[in-house]
Amino acid sequence: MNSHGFVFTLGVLLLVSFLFVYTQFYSGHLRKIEGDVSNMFAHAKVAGIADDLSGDLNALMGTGVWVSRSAGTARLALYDTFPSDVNKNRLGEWKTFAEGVYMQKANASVKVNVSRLLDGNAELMFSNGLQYVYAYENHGLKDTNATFFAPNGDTNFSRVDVNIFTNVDYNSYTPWDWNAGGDTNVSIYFRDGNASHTLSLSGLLYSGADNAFVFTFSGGSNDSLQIRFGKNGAALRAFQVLEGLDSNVAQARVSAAFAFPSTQSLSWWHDADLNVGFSDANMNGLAVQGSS
Amino acid sequence: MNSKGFVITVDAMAAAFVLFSFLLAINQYYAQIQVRGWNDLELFRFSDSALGVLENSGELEYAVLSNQSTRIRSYLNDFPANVCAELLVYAQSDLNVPLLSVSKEGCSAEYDVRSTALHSTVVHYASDLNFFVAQLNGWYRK
Repeated sequence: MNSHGFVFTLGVLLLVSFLFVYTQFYSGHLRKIEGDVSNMFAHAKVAGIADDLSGDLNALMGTGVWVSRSAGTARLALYDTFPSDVNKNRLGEWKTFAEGVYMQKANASVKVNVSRLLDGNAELMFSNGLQYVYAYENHGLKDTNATFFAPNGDTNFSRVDVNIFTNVDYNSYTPWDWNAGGDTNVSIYFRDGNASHTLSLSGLLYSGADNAFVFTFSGGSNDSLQIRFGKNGAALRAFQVLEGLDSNVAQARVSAAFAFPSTQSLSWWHDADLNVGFSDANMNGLAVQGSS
Repeated sequence: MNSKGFVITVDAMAAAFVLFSFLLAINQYYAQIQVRGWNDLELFRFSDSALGVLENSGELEYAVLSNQSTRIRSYLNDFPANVCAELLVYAQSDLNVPLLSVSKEGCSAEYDVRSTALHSTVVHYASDLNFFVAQLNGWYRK
């Protein structure tokens, strides 16, 4: 009887000990999973905030970018308005909002550095070295220009398709010198507020020259819109839009698609820093806008 | 001897049954807690993604400019049946009282855990520019 009691007691002790160890193990496992979930939540929140702020920055800058790639060739399209819908100087207000009101509501740490975009040149950088620079300072919302180029290098654009729409009527235009022996296929389509004013031209341009297509409007000789392609200082095959529209309500919308050789993926970002932190998660980097 | 063997076998089976019952109960208890943690994370991701759709599609801007919430309510009503949600939009000047408040129909504010996603929103109005904070609260229907 005593022997039976001992075995029974030992059995119960073993069972309880096993269950205790098992629950401790499981409890530790659970704590680890909870920690992982909590950590993942923090990372998801930080990524969400950074993505949100990047989107806002892009909305303020107003530049649209689309990239598609096929074997060995990339096709990149840019869209912008001249002058901008929003004065880019207002980025400062957005920074104040992001680091104040938004940070307070999101209960996260937010630091935004847009100083390099507030110096009069708003840069959009591409991972293959191309840069799109929208110059806006000294003129507020007027007489803006944008250049898409490879600093001190060649963009290697093999084809450029330009579409222009203006809400004011043009008076005349001076086309660039088409060159049958040129090396770059270029097409240009123009339409203004008058539906009958459309223009569609295409041909070859020599990229070693500074080619200019000039539209003039009803104001003085400087009331113009220029599309330039070719040599721009040390930059080769650079694309440029020079806006000098006089009317206060005049605006040009320009989209341009560029084809160039590319074997690597492409990403692009505004030249601004975003630093977001929540709990143990932090994200510090440039305001990435997209990749392809 | 046969009788003893039978008793020992039954005893062992009973002991094994008790042991596995305990293990099953422990597993079930902890598994529920784990699932809840993952569900909360998924709910946050869902809310954040849904808010992104509203922002990128222009529906948030439209709702703020027109003071119309019909289209947003329709969007919230299409959420999965077990998910409840409300959208609040705050002007930057007042983070306490929402400018716009829209809830999914048929949902009551009863929840164990509520997930909150926030987005800052830039709204263009004529040549003016305004900033808002949009908040999407999501919770599982009880």
